[in-house]
Amino acid sequence: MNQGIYVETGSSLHRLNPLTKFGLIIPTTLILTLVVDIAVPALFSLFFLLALLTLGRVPASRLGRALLPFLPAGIGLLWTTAAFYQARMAETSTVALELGPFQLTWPGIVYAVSIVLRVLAIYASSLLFLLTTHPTDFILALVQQCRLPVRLGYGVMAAYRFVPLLSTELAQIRAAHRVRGVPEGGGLLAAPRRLLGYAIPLLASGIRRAQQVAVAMDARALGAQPQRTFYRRLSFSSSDLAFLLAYAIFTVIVLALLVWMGLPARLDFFSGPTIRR
Amino acid sequence: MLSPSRASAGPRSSCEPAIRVEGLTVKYPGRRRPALEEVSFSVQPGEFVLVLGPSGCGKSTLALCLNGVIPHAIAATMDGHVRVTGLDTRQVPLTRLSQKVGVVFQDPEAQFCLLTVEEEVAFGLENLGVSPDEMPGRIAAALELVGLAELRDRRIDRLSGGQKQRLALACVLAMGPEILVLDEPTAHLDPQAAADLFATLARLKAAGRHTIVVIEHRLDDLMPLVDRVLLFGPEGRLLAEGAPRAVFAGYRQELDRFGVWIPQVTELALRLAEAGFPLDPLPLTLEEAAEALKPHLRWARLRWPPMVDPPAVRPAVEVRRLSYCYPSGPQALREVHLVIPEGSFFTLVGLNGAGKSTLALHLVGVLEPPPEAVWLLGRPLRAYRRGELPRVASYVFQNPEHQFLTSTVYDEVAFGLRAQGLAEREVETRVRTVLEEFGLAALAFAHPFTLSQGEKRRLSVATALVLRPRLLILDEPTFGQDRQTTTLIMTRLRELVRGGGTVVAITHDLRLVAEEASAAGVLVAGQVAFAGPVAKLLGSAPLLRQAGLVPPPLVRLGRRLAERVDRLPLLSTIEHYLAALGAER
Repeated sequence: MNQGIYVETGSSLHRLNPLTKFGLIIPTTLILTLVVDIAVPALFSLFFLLALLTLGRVPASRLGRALLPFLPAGIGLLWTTAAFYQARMAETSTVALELGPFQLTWPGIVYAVSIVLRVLAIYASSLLFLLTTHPTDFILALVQQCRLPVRLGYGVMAAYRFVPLLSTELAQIRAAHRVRGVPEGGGLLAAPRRLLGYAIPLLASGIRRAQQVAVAMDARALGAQPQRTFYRRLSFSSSDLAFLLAYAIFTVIVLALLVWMGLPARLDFFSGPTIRR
Repeated sequence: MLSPSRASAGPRSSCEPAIRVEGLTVKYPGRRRPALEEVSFSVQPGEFVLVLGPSGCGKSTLALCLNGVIPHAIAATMDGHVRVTGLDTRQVPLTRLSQKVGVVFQDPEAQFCLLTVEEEVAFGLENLGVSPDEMPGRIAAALELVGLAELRDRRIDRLSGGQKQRLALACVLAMGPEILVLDEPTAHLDPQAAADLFATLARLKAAGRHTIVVIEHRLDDLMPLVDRVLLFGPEGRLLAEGAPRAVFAGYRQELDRFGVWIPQVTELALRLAEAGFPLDPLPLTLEEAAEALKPHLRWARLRWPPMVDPPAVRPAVEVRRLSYCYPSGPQALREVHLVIPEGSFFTLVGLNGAGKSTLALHLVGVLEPPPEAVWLLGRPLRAYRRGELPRVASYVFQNPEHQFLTSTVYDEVAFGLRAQGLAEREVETRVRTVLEEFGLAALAFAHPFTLSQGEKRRLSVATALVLRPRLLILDEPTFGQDRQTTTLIMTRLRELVRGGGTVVAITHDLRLVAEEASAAGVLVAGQVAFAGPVAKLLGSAPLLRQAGLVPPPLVRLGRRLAERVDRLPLLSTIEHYLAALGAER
């Protein structure tokens, strides 16, 4: 059954509070947008990917597959950033590569690599959350810790269960339409009409199911009384603290290293690259 | 009969009924007619009540009234009173009612929101504010009752449909209700899973702690449990209530007219009575039927049509070494060989996931077979041009809505004819005829999605039959249908076969196999485990088990009768029994 990107291994990373993992994305993004450098995003990427492989026991193949979508985006970003790099000190930079109308300079390439690594690091931090957190757990944490309204939270969970059902149903509808002689191909005009034809039965059954679930939940007294207990409490445990601490120490070391090595860590994103070669 | 005794304002005695419904009328906003009208009845504690009625008669609405979802959570006007264990549902909040009445719904996919079995059972307890320390014990007890104790940590999406329905039952049991209401709990289950659910209900009844109300149309295995029947008419009125025997015997015409299923052994007995073999008392269960029939059967004088090998005809379908593997999944078909003779009614049976639909989709080219692997009417499927195939082979999907393409019933039937480029005059004659045959003429300009379940099914079969295909494949054509729709569709399919066409039905419905099919194929894990005459399949218990089927009631009845007789032909349809009794004219 389709489980999306989530990888079930039951590791210690899985058992962390979803909000801990989700929360890490924010400081990581903040630090990485402010620091323009190659080493820092590379180290952050390494931190998250290694944590996934070791602590999370995520198989390398699954991690590789999760990273796959990044590949075309990364290459595209690398190329456009390097090719359209407008060097402030263009006269001093050496041309590394000449491809037709494009001149790639060393600072341009270095800058492009740093940008790509930065995106990779942010992507890796979200993977840490996505690969080890089941969406149901995340919503449960939002309900328990962030006071998300109970009816809304459980409604979203019930809806999430329908995702794999919907994709099965879509496949059936497509087959059913083909049998009746509706061609799969078709020009610009045929495609939207065909999609509409898929959408109507999909919507009809989706709405019907949603109503049934809503009634079934009501019948089991969801939200009927203000005091609700929880069988599985998602709390912040000592391992959450340990992981946050490890992250904090890692961040401090990386940033200290940056300063100690005398890198001009100008916390300024918009003024452009200040990469020392 | 009906005794709408007025509610007494006096103190409640110990014999307070578990359910007392008085003058209940429910109307949904925007509907002209009420869903339930002036319904009154009561149910005693510990009773097992079966609710019968045609589809759309308000049975599901009744279920929602019993647990207070109407009027508390659904906007509907409700008049009259519903009291459960003495509590007026209008005055008592849902939290309290949910501890008195638990409801299990039809669709196993639309009752859960959590990840694992135990969390889902806990959900109801959480809503009641039960202390977490108390939960593990209550969860374990509820799962034990439905036989899911070992699957406590299992993820719900890995459960079978039958297990999901038993989980739904455990979820309400954990909340400690005295009354259980089940609204067509087996409608989406295969026969084996339905039998398991009924066995669970039998255990609950034997324990005697619950009052049970079941809305159901698979009756043969349920009848031994039923104390009383409520029969609803199409207008949402309670037509009759009473002991099952009295209702089935006394309301035969109404049951027929409304297309309500009755136990197959009871139907057999009523047909035998017409033929001059009245059985008294009217049997409702296998045991009763076996007892009543034994003295009548004279095996020595048994007249039995000799088994004739079907004449050799060319195959309508020939499958040669077809294997298929879904891009993302396991091997669906392994080296399938299958020959379906032209002019036969062929049924394809097997467990869910055995590859039946995958195989069938290859026969119409939706899944493209390798060259030479699938032959239709003597030509490789690949040799047919795209536009040619729909004229030769049609496919009716399990969910009729999936196939609808237009916005009126008329256009829906006309669609395939117009695609063939027929003149509009010819299209009109053919569409009119088919709409008439399927009882849809009055609905010609209705939107297909607004039809009832039975009408949708009839329409989807009509859209295929109007094309006069040589081969018609149907996926679960009788699933969840009432008697009228089933009878009508079978009549039309028989006509197709008589005219030389071939029908292939994928089904779990062994009654359909026994009554209609001439041959059957069993798929087990993507391989053909059996292909041959139906009598051979029905006679082989191991084969049926492999296919996830339970022998149909009449076959089991025949076996029971055979306990005293050493040689007994397979009796699987009412016609067989009539023949065996020499009652056939």
